[in-house]
Amino acid sequence: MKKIVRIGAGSAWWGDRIEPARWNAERGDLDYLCFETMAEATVSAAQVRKRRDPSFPGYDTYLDDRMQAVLPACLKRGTKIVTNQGWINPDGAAQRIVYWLNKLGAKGIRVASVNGSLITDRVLKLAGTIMENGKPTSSLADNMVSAEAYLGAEPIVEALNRGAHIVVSGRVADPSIFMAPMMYEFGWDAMDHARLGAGNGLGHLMECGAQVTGGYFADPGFKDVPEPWNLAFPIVEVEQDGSATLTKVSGTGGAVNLMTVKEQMFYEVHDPANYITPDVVVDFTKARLEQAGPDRVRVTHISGKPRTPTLKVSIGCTEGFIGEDMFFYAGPGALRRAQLAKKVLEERFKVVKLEAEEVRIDFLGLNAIHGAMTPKDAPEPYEIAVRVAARTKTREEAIKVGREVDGMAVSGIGMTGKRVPHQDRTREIIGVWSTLVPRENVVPSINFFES
Amino acid sequence: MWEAHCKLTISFVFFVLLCVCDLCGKYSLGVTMKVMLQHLAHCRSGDKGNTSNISVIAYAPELYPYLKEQLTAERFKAHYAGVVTGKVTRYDVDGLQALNFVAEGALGGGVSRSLCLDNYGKSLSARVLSFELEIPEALRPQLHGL
Repeated sequence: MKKIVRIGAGSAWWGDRIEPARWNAERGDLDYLCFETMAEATVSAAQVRKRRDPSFPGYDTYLDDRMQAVLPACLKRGTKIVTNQGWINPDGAAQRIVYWLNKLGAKGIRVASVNGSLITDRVLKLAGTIMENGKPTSSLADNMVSAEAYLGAEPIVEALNRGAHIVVSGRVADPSIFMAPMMYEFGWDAMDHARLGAGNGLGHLMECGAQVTGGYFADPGFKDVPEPWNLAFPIVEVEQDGSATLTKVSGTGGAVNLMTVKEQMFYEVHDPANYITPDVVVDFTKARLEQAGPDRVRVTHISGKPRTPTLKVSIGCTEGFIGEDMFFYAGPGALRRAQLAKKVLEERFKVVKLEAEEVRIDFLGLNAIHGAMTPKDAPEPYEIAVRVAARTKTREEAIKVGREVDGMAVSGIGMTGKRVPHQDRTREIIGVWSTLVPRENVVPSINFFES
Repeated sequence: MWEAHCKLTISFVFFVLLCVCDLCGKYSLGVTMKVMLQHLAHCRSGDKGNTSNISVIAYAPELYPYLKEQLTAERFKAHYAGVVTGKVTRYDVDGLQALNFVAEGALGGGVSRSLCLDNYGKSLSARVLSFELEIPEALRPQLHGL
């Protein structure tokens, strides 16, 4: 058994940078490289896209870029890969990875796909109520696009046990992707909640990539970060008991320190004593952190409690459209012109009978981000963007927003700046709701492919 | 008589002690200063549906008790008035000198439905940086950004 397992992050979301994954593969001396590429609405968005474009393969659109960047070094070092880039088509993603392996001349590499998280056809039978509003899940039936359960680490561990070098899954809880290698290497039992708590806690620290190495962190004069344009993704050195050291490859920007680790520990966490994952309930409250060296933080005493009998399910629903656009004012009087422009838009929306559930007209530069919290005595900015957005039932209604902004060009206020209409100014809303299903009703399956 | 005198004296001593303690309680801060939270703590916000969690982490252990005492869930909610529409729960992690605020109804109906430009509320945590606290002047060397 290995004494220390080195696990690196390859991505924290679909749009993440590619280069830091390559650095980890080439210079991280990794046993495992793990990719997290899904947001809450990723699967539903993929389903919508697949409906419109049957040629869309249904896996991470950057799968090729990521694999081309890391496969050569991973093959050389023997680094295994665990990734949730399979989205709605893990088999297709596995086959595509085999394609790249063959191109590199790597023979006999086993790629496993983990399926079974999609339960769209069964969710209304399995799940009772919606967590956010207490209504029955049947109330979502008409608009449902996709329902997927968050799987835990177990199917990935099984795939590794059956000889997989690369595991590509659909929806798996983010921390579990990173913990699966720990369970496999150290033989942690799925019911060993003490170790799984530590492992899943470490997975949580890793799942957002650069957010623990100096990303989403710098605040000049308060929290300074060296070379914030040159951030690495994290590496965790895990020991058999779940103690670990977080670090990053040398020669990169960013920082791994007590502040970056604490901020990430609580990121998207509600009760820090009860962070529920499919594998275990993590307790961060007794965690101990220690700066063990430059860009090295020792993490111990993250603990765990037995897992819950249910799995969380995300249900994506089409819920209408958002139309949005913006135009600009600058110089003395920018605010008074923006205020009149707002009035013009409000009146125009009456004239064109805009049917909207909500309309929002903000002055970007003054109150578009913090809205009603903006201090009354905030100074008038030199430049202001009038930003307008409306939520509507149909795309036709949402289009009216951009059309009325078009009208501001020659029929608007003096000195109005505008963009060239360069993009579709409407987008479809995929609302995400949550529910719980008994875990025994979700049975993952594993398929193998080989180069 | 002697016994009564003793009792009176003891009572008086207790009274004086109580007064001193009371004064200590009121003025234990010594010379104080008003300061924005950004000098005491750093923060990060995360999103889950229509709920935002905002962690507030002390720069130094000595600063944490003042955050814990003065930045209550109620005051936090008041500081976010107009944006946070639901319940605010505070979780304390004393060992790491961190407070985690879970603010419901903070994201305009949820990330995908929100009409706010910052759908995820990634910049919401910055609001708490302007919360004002009163701390001992003696803690000035521990403050960041001054």
